Amino acid sequence: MSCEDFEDDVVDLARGEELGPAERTEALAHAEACLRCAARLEDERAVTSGLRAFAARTAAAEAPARVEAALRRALRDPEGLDADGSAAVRPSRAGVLLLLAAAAAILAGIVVVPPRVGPLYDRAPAVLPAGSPTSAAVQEAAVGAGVGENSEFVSLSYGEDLRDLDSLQVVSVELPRTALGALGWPAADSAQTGSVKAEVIVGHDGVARAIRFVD
Amino acid sequence: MPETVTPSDHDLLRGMRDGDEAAFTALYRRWQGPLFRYALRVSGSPALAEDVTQEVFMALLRRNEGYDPSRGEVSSYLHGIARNLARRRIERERGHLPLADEAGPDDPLADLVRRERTDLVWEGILGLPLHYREVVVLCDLQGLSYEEAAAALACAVGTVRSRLHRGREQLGVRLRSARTLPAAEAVPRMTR
Repeated sequence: MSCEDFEDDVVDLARGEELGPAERTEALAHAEACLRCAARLEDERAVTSGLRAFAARTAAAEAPARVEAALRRALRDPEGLDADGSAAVRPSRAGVLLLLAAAAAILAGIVVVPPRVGPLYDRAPAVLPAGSPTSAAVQEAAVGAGVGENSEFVSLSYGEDLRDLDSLQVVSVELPRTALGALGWPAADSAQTGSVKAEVIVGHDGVARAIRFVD
Repeated sequence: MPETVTPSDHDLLRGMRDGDEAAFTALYRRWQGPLFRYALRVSGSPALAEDVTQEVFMALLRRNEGYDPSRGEVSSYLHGIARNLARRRIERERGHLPLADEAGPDDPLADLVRRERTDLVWEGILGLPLHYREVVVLCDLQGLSYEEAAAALACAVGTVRSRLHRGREQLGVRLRSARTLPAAEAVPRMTR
């Protein structure tokens, strides 16, 4: 076996997979006779070892239970799904953090909702259906937050009932129009410039729960 | 005593499409972990991983067809959807991917991510070009064979092999250089 042939096999040799017994024996024999290829094999084995240790340390990571709950609700309520298979327009949780970073740019006002008082919390519980961008709970919370009954807020959380929260804040923000795509809204025309105004409902834990654009 | 038969992924997929919630739940519980870990490992972001996991199954609920058994196993099909969703998000949110800081202090996943993000291996993986990173994660972390990874990535087995070779080579260089730096300089970066 040449050093070139060994290089072709060294990854499979270090991974201990995908290489037949005869090729493996031949490659190991070459490594015993060639210092440079032996060092190369040691490097690859170190990479394999590091990757396996990392895989083992992260092997228990799983999706939070709220994902399954939201999906099961979506299965029971097919109306909430797009019939054409296109992606639902739902802001991403990751994108919301980008939004909140943009919110730091302009903070126009904050309204604090007192915890669990008033008619907002006396009504029968409503469930936020997954895939349904607006919901009774979001709209009720918006009313409770003093932003008007006609607010078209979009839920950012999966199946969470906002009335279970102790307090809510409505934060007015302004963000670049180009950031809309990163938030999961239909991508804005790249030629468009300027900013858009939005209001975000934020829980006491600082996590955004719903958003609406006001222009 | 009747023998308990474990339904195949294909059976569960078919049952799910017929509206069988038990089939959907079984398929979800079988695959949410691997798909979540794929997205987490390739992005470093638990929030993105959660979104991708949900969106994979939402896509399954929306589509009446899509899985073609002749093109590979269900594992490749599901990893392929997750890969496309994760890739789109990683490219769109480059530099803005949240890490574990959004979660509370008692969240075990957040703790895991905070701890592992300081690990040289994960830093090295996240520093790889995306097309190498995907293959390293699929083959070396998710345990897919070359054939399964090729089906997930819709490319040739030879492409998987060469990307894995180059990705690991780059990772090895990064790990060696990090380990030979003086301790103060070897502290991994927490931002990308």
